[in-house]
Formats: sequence, structure tokens, C-alpha cells
Amino acid sequence: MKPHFLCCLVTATVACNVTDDRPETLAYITETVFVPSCGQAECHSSMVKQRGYAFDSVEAAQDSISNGGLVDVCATPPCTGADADSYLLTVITTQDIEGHRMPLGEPLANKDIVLIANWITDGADGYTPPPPPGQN
Amino acid sequence: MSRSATAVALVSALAVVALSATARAYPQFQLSKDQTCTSCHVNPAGGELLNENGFATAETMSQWGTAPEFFYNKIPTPSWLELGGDLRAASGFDSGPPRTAVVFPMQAEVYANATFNSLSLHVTAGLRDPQYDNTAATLFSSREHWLEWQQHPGSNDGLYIRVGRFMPVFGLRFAEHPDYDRRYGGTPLYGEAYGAAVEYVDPSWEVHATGFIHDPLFPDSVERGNGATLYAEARLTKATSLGIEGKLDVTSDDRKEYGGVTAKHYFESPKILLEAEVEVVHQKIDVGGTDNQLVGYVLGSYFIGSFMIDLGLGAYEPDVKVRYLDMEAADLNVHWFMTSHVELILTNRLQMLELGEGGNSSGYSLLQFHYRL
Repeated sequence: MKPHFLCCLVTATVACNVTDDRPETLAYITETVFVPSCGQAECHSSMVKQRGYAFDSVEAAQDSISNGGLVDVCATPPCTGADADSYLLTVITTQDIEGHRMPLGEPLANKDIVLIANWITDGADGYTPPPPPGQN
Repeated sequence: MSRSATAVALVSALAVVALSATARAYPQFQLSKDQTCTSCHVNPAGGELLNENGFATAETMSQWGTAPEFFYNKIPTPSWLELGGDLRAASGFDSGPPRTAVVFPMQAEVYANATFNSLSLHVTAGLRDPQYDNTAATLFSSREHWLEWQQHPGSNDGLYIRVGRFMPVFGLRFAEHPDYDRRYGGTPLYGEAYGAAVEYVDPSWEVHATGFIHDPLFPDSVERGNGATLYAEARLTKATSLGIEGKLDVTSDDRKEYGGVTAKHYFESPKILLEAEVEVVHQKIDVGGTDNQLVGYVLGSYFIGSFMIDLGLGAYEPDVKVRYLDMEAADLNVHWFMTSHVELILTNRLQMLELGEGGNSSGYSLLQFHYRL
């Protein structure tokens, strides 16, 4: 279901014949997608930190993604299938564990979802995954 | 949906959607009721505590009147002290998914303003959205507190200088924080910061210049940057005003430059006020990448008896060089001023992505209760 949905999104985007050359970095995605869409004061701001997640700064996004295990990345990109395995993609395309799609009541633009999916598949530039258990 | 499923959805929504929101003044009253915010408010930027003219307006425009003063004037206060407060809560439906019933508190704050000749001290304190898993330590806060010097004590115009924590003055400053010119235009919910402001208010023009820094005492505050704002507005006639605005906001991650214009016109005969704000935002991310954003909001307000009916249209383009990121919103808000202290507001929003290109839509419908102390 998820890969199919993402495939449709990618196809639809390509069909528009519009180049989206936005940087695939944690900093860029945080400041242009997470902050305005997820990091609103009453939601995932550092002030409120709904469900323990904050996405209103690069540092907060790094911590939230890392602590929550929200993104799966591989050692050598491209990380095929990593987007579909990432909980971050699940909650913005379908639903979280409580049945809500994020951002609550205000979905992300398809192109932003594709940007995030591509960022994960390409190795999540700028994101430092937590060390494997036992290697702290 | 079965009763049990509905109950589960409601409880879930209550737990998840415990979002709240402070609300401020109605700029819809400027030009339609009087020329400046200070005509009705103690604050040179408008909002919160009312002055004598504000009390009179609250009483005359409400359905059933009642004494407009703090606690109906039953609690006497010395002449140098003014007290007030706002309580708000809302309930309704959110489009989801899943579609859910929501109930949530919005605001519970009290205000105090002590005036000694040219100097005054203002404090806004109360409940805020607590931090997850840290409620006891973060439930109470003082959102605003400042020391003010006023050139003409007791009057509604002249020079004001403020130092403290407040929302940097910028743009039209609608009460509804989801409005795009607030959410994406530089005055978000809880966007207060420590700063110093020099403000001049005259019936025919006003200017507000503010320098601000992010809260050094509370590093988790919403405003993460340091910068400055400028807002200047000229009343060309008693029914028309034009404004210009600018803001610089530099955080540890990015730099944003805002520029924009505002306009208002009041049509006396049909009692309709039109307001518009358009902003261009240039953002530069430190590690690489820039974008130019467009933010616009147009609001038409119709006044009939004790009702104010708002129809707003918002547009937000997060990056003008990338198609299909645009967001559009239509808001229909009906305000009923029942008494001098009680207001009911039916707020409705339809929001669209990629208008006309098949993007997702969303929306909500909420009934809000507002009690002014």
C-alpha cells in the first residue's frame, strides 16, 4: 500500500514536468517543511513537544527522528525501500499508531512527501542515526 | 460508526488534539469603530485590556449589554490598576483523517496593568500549552510582561516606548492564529519575544519599530531568532488605511526577511470592512538552499447588530519556484457578541492544497466560547 502510494506520487509529480531541485538535506527539509507544517506552536514545537517530538529546529528534528527511530537509513545509499520502512513516511501518508495522519487535519503537499521520501532513500543527508545498540 | 467507536474517536481526539491558542484583539474594529487600536485598548499595539472607550464599544455592540468593566465592576480596583482576562474554549469537528470530534481549551489568562504617571507595568499570565511529559513545570507562564513609558499619559496617542516580553508589532495582527498572514507571515501563535519597541500613534498614522531577541530564560520558546520588525500605517481617510511592514529574523538555522503591505477600507453604508495583507518572505538556510515565499490574506467583515461575520481567503506559496506546493484557505467566522463579556464564535475553515490540481483538502468547524473577565 505504502510503496504503491509513493509510486503514484512520484509518477504524478514527474508527469507535471516540473523540476523540483530543492536540496535533500535535513536542514532544508526541516526549515521549509517540518517547521511550517509540523513545528507549529501547539503541535511539535520545542515548547509543547506533542508526544515527545519537536520539529521546529534542525537540532530538535535530529533528536526527534533519532530518539523516535522515525527514519530507516542504510550504510550505503541508495537505501531502496527505506522510505516505506520509515515511520515518518507512514504518519504523513497514512496514519500514526493512534490512527491520525500527520500533520493533524492539514496534509502535506504531495511534493513535500516525495521530497522527504527521496531524502530518506538517498541516505538522509544531514541526519545522524543513533549508534547500534551496544556501540554507545 | 458505532457508539463505542465514536467514543473512542472522541477520547482519542481529546488526548491528541489538546491544542490551545491565545487570541488577541480584533483589527476588524479599526476604521469600523474608531481610527486606532489605542482608541479602545491600553496596549499601543491593541489587544487585551480595554480603556473607557473600549468598554463603551463592548457594551453598545453586544446583544444584551451588561456592565463591561472587570467582573462587572463588582470588584473595585484603585485608579492606577487595571485588571482583566480572557477565557476561551472550543468544540467541533476536524476533517482528519479520521474525522474526529474535538474539544479543547484555548486560553485562560489574566492581565494586569499598573500605571504611575508616564510609566506603566503590564503583565499577562496564565495557562499555556504544557510540554509533553512536563506538565507541572510548564503549565503556567507569563506570555507578556513589559515596562512602558508613554509621552501623553491618559491619552490615546503620542510616543510609546516598551521594554519587555511581547509580540513584535507587525502586519494586521488578526486574532485567529491559523490565518496565513500570522501562521506563515511572521506573527505565529506564542511568537512573543523579549524586545524594545518605539511606537508612535496618531489618529492619521502610526509606526512601530521593534528589536527583539529570543527568550534567554526559556530556550524552548516559539520565537527562535533575533531580529527586528517595522510596521507603519497611514490613515489616508477616515475609512482607508495603507501600511508597510518589514521583519528580519535570524535563527541558528536560517535567516528570514519579510516585506509586505496592508490595506483597509470601510464601506460605511453596507457596514463592510475589507482588509488585505500581502507578504514576500525570503528564506536562506545556513547549510544551503533558499526560497521565496508568498503569503496573502484578504478578510471581509460585515457588521450587523451584535454579529460580525468574517469571510477570509488565504493563500500561501512556500516556494515560488516549485509548483504544486501552494495552499489556499477559506474561512467563515460568525461572531455573536452576546453581552459585554460573552462572545460565541462559529469558525469554519476549508483548506486546499494545489488548488485545482487535485491536492488534498481539509477543514474544521468549531464553536468557540469566549468570556472576557
